[in-house]
Amino acid sequence: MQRLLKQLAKPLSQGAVAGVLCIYIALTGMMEAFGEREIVMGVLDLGKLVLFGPFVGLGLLLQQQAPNRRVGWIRVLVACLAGMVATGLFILFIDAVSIRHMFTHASPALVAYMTMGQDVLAAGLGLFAVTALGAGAVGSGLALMPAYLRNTIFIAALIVVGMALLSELISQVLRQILNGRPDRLLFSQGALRPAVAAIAVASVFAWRGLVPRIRLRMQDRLPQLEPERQRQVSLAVRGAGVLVLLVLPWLVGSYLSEVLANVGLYLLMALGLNIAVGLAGLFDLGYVTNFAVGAYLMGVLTNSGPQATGEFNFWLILPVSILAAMFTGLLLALPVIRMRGDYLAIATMGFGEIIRLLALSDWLAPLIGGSQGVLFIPKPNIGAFTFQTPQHLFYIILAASLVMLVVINRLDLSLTGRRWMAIRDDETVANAIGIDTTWIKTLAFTLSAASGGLAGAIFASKLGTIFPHSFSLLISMNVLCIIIVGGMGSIRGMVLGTLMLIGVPELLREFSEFRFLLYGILLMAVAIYRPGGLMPARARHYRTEPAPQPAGGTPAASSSAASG
Amino acid sequence: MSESLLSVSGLTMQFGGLRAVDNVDFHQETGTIVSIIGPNGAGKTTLFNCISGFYEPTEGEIHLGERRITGLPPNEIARAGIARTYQNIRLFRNMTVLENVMLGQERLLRTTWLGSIFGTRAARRETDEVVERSHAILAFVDLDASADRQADELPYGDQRRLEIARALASEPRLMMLDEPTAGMNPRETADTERLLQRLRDERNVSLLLIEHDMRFVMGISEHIMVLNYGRTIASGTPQEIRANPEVIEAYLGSSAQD
Repeated sequence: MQRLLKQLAKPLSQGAVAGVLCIYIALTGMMEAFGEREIVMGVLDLGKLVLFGPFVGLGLLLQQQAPNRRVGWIRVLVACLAGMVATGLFILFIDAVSIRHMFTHASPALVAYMTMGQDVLAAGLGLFAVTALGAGAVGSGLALMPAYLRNTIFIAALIVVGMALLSELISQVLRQILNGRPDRLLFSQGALRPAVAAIAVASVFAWRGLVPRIRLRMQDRLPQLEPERQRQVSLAVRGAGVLVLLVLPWLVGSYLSEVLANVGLYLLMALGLNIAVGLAGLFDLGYVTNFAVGAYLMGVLTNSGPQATGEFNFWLILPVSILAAMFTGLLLALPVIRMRGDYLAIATMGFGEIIRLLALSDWLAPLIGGSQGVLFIPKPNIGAFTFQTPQHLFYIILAASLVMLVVINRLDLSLTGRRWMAIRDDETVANAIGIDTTWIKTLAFTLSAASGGLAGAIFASKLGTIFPHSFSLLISMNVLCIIIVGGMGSIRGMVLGTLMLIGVPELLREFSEFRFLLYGILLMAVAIYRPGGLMPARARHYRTEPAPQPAGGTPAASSSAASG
Repeated sequence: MSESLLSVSGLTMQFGGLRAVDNVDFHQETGTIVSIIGPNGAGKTTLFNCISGFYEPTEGEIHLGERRITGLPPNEIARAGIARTYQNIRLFRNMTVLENVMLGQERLLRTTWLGSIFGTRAARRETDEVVERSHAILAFVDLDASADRQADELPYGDQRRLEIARALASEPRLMMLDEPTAGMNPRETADTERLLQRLRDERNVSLLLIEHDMRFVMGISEHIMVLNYGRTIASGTPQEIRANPEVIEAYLGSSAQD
């Protein structure tokens, strides 16, 4: 008896955890909010996915870890029962007792949703139980099938869900390319039509069936490309990428261009903060300071509102904003440069708050508007042309991002970048091999600030008005999250992280309310499963040009030394 | 040949009530291998830390050649030409083997951050030179095949050699090695001995060692200094040290003489 209990303790507790997860999702209101988002019309919505997803997960994990199939099925059954009992009791409880004064989402509507609209509670609970068991069985089935097939199913599911969630984006692009409403063929009120979903799944299966054969053929050919040709190919790919970016705002329309512009601004900040955090290992939690300095400088010096001071041109003030942010970065670096780790994080976090309170203060109000903010900041212009719409502004941000990407990429590979990374890995030793750590750290803060100032300046001009509450601690946190999720010190990671944390939530309006919950989950998942981030920094490899060496040069000397 | 390289006089390092190094004098000539031995806690590593600038000595003077380096920060002492390794290996773990050696050349570099940002021709050429020199140094310690591996993936013995390579990369006048054979088997120890001799003979580096392995010390050193409780209790050639009763007592305890 005791042995049996011991055997079952793990599945029981894991099932209970899944149940608690369901309850949590329900009580925070995520389930109902997601329930309004249909994925496949009349078949599946996002709420059901998060309600039964944990059961699929249970089935998959427990079956995979089980020593044999029989034990696996028993464990899955036990775990699913535990999860069902927990969730079922919860449904009964909120049906019987109103706890809405504490949990506003624990409503009859939630009960109705979780029991799938059945009139009789018992029938609803039964249906829930059957579906949950079914979900567990599906998970187990996934665990038992060959990995290639399982991955194919995952990819198909991901594509169907992704298509449904990005339905607006896809519709928008289709409407720009084709006349009429081609999107209606695919979607109905944002949900995939069942036939389309079936076709999508079928094409994934067909593709995955063909891929191994195609890859075999490609492998014969790819290495045969000469270095010269490879360079041409990579250049062509890059050119195509830039071309796509250039037409992108007109493909996706005004709203999505706005989203892309925000992504670009955060990318600028992430690239900048990455110098301090990712390369030099300096945990700066006050990055918003630089953003605010850039924004306020641009706002105050260009606006034609009550704070009008000179009404200078955008392009004149842009470099001034960057320099001002760098100067601020330098100034703030001085007192904290000797701090390490946690102390540095706390001190810099303080700076972020100070700048917000300064912006809000009455003391500076005559100059920067206090809580009234700065109004009537003009949009950038070149001659008679004004960058008025989000599509126009996208190009300024794109240009800034590309310039920054080039600069950061250079720094990343440079000897200066090496010095930063040495400090990150072991500051004491970095100092002992001759690096002036104080100066190199100050440099990291200063250069990292530049990109934040640039982002801030564009932000002010893009929005036309700035208020102190735009510069909260949350901005620093968001940027830091991007770096951690994307991969510290990894430039590709910054791009991916920004798209995921800033772009995706804008596209999925259902998520926006729960953005920080999802950030939290994502951060924990990354910390546990991919500590280096989603796209960890790759090792930097150095290849000197294989130039013909004069006789008796370094290589000859080194080879003789090696044999000596 | 008897040119003065390092001279330490009256060096004292006091931590609260503890005199970790107590009025130590010694002198090393260019091109020699000198070892410091002594029981655990004798103050050997503290002496190293004073010379390389981690600690500011309480009293005393340190000169490298003619230059007084007492109390200078570690980076300036490194620039003056002293490189070192550590008792517990301290590599830049998340960087490649090659990058570690590249970083070792810091004192020879001229590239500034502006050069890095603008990718100037001088900066690019220097990077190429640094990479080439690094490969040559890695070849010297027989690690070039691992150049692109991450430093902490290397086996233990290779990590020790990489630390030596990083120190060598600065083309130092003096290299201080803190227990270079710690944790090594007899074969690795013999390899290390050969490597250190080649450092001196082929690269003209003077060596100052802390070491526990007596056979190794006796074999390689021209001069040995024995520390106990922070004080120099003996100093001389290996033969002199082997015969010194005070050393035997410090190592084996007074009861051993009974």
